[in-house]
Amino acid sequence: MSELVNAQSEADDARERSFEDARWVADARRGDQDAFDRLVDRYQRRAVAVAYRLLGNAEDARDAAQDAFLRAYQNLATLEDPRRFGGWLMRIVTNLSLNLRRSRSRSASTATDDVIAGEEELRTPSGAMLSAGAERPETAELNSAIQAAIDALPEKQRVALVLFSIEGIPQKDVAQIMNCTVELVKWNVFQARKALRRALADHLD
Amino acid sequence: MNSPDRHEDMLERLSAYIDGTLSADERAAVESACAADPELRQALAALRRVDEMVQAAAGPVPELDWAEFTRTNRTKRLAVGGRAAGGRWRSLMLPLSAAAAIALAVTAGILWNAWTRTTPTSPDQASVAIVTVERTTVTADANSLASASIVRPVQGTRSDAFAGPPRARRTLIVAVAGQAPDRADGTADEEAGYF
Repeated sequence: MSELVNAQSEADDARERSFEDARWVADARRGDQDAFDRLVDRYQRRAVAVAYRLLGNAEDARDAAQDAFLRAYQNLATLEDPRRFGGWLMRIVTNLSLNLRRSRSRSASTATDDVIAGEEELRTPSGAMLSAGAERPETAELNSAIQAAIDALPEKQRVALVLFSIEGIPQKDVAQIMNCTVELVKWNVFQARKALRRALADHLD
Repeated sequence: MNSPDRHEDMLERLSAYIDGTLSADERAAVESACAADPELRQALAALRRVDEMVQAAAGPVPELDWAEFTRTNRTKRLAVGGRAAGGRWRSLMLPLSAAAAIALAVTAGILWNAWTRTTPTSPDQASVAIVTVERTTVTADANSLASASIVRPVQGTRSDAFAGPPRARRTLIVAVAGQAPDRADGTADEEAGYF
């Protein structure tokens, strides 16, 4: 019973937020900078988090998120339903991050190693990164194996896994971000889990 | 779990079970199946473990100075122009502009028709009536088309009319009169339109 009440309460909050977003988008379209600041305040953590999960680097994630907000601002007129600003923004964040990731892997073979966050973070060859500060060697090894397995996933499976399983974004919102159906999101998450189960079989108890 | 298809189907159901997207009946069916099949129980535990490992490995997202992030974004926005691309007004402007351009073309065509019937033309010059449609604004009066505040006649050859900065390419040539060098072949009339 309490689960139902909580679910209803969350749905009400989400609805309230979406109407608030629509108001701020309308104000921003009229040139109200404070209104767009409120949208930035609301979504900046999630934008940076999604970019970070896909890029594995805090600095790149911050830049990708900044770029995404800027593009969203410049293209507010193309947003058909202002209540869905959040999902629309995350799609921009995701696309920019994937583009950056693709261009980074293309240049990885020729570029010099530019690891700049070495004190606290460990960057894998693909560019993703895991926290590795005070980890025991076996934990670092496991995390490395997990990250390698995630990196080996097809892009859509990786994005679905990151958005749904790691970031906890509801499947219907992930579907909006990935521009696909909820069923396809479920299928991608399932395929990702299956592939990871195979890849990490040695680490499963 | 018998056939490969059934196995795959069951695994997918387990995945949905973990996500909490099954109906109450479907959940009960999965729980009942797991209770009866140790292999299913093991598969469910493995999928759960995979999720836990992935979440644990992901770690926390770095904390930034969020107030600074917002300030930086505003600075970037102001640097690129300050005002967001408008909403409904902007989307309405394109069809309105097109409609206005068509109305201008029709009006100017009628006026030009009347003009060419009454205005003698110099044999060595062409008169090109130009209507500027950019942003649907009107730029000048026409000396012989007093009522056509939207028309700017250009004296010279047709080449002269086309000369100038790229801006001229956003100009609507609505009428050509006189005897430009290639007037005889009718190209001038054909070129009336958007450029």
